[in-house]
Amino acid sequence: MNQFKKGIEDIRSIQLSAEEKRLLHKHIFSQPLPSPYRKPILLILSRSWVSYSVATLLIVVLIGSSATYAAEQSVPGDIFYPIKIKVTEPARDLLVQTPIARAQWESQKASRRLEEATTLATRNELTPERSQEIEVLFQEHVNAAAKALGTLSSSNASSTIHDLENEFDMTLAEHAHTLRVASQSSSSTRSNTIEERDHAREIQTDEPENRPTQQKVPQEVPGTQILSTTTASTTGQKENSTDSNRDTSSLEKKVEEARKQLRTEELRTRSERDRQERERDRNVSDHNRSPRQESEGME
Amino acid sequence: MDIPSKTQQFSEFYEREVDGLFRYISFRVKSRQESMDIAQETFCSLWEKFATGSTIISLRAFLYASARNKIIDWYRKKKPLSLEKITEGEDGDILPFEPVDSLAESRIILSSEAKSVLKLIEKLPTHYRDALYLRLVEEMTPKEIGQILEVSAGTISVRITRGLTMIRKELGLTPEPEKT
Repeated sequence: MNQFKKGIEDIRSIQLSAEEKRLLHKHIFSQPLPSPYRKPILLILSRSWVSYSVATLLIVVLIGSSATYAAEQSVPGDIFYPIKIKVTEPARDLLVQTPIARAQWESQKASRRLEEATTLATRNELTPERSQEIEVLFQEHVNAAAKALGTLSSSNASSTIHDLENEFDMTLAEHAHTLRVASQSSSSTRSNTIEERDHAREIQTDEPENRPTQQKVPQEVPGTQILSTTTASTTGQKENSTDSNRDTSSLEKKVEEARKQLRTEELRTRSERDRQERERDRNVSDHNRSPRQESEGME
Repeated sequence: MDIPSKTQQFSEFYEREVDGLFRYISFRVKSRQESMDIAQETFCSLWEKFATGSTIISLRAFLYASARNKIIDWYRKKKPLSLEKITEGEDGDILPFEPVDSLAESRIILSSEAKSVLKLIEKLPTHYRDALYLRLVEEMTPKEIGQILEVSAGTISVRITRGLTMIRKELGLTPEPEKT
């Protein structure tokens, strides 16, 4: 047992020398201390799950924002167009609170539809279905804008309403004009193609004049094959452009209708306002007259 | 508390604990130089925590617990490396079995009594070794040992009693009525 105790004493005698202790002490206190004010964001990011989730969130946001951006540039027929109509615009609808902002936003949407139609017309891609789609949406926006203006008229910001209506009318007129220009330019390309086709027909002098279609040409005259394919494509283009011409005209009609609608709305609100003012005047005059009448009655 | 007063406090703590900690590490690592390194690392990390204002309930318990973790890390780091060297070798060189420990100057010289005591403790089941060592050599209370080993003080008391009984049996002594 004594041996055991001596053993423990011996173990306890294991020590560092004074020099070693001094060195160790020096090392400990000479190390640079980290700042207690570490950046909390970096501290949070140091956990792996946090950094993973942040990365995932970033990817989702990036994809979402790029899709939204692509959708903003889209026209009917694009992959992203439904996103523009069904996601981004309804989302912006929610952000609009006041009737003034509502009217502005609805008119903006209507002009966006017209812009899309213009883009399609310049590209010669305005098919009847697309035109129909745009028309329906355009009418909806115009109705909504007119409704918003109607609710505005019941409040008393007459000058603002007037400005808004004027602005809307002007943008509509402007877009109708650009649309017309676009459709005209496409029809001018059409007339060019007609000339080309006539030219091609002149070249094919050995062909009988009463040939019903141009499609048979390549089989009979190998030399005109290239030319005839161009004519085939231009006839297709011609059909397209007539379509687009008709569609833009119907759209233009729509725009005219919308402008009329707005004008009647404006007239209605103006007459309503006048009526209200007259009533107020009458009330005031009644109020002014009544005490006199009473006093007359008293006498 | 500002840094100078913290430094003062920690220096006093260092003077009190450095030998004990060094012993505790060298009992596991068996190399003077390595033990010193681990002791230094342990004190450094504790000082960093202490100076930057982390709440530490018991400095002593924290010190030993972190030393324990550092020893485990050291073993993990050392083992695969030396094993690789032993099995493969480099250009046919015959490497010593334990490269660091075999150096005579870095070995800790112990008396035969001390060696026999350590041998007795090492024969004990793993759970009992630390508890008994800290109780007998560093004379810690079961509560302190419990904080280091992250078990309750009661468990530590039981381990100490049973460990002592085993040692007595090993030494051929009859169980004594007096308690440690």
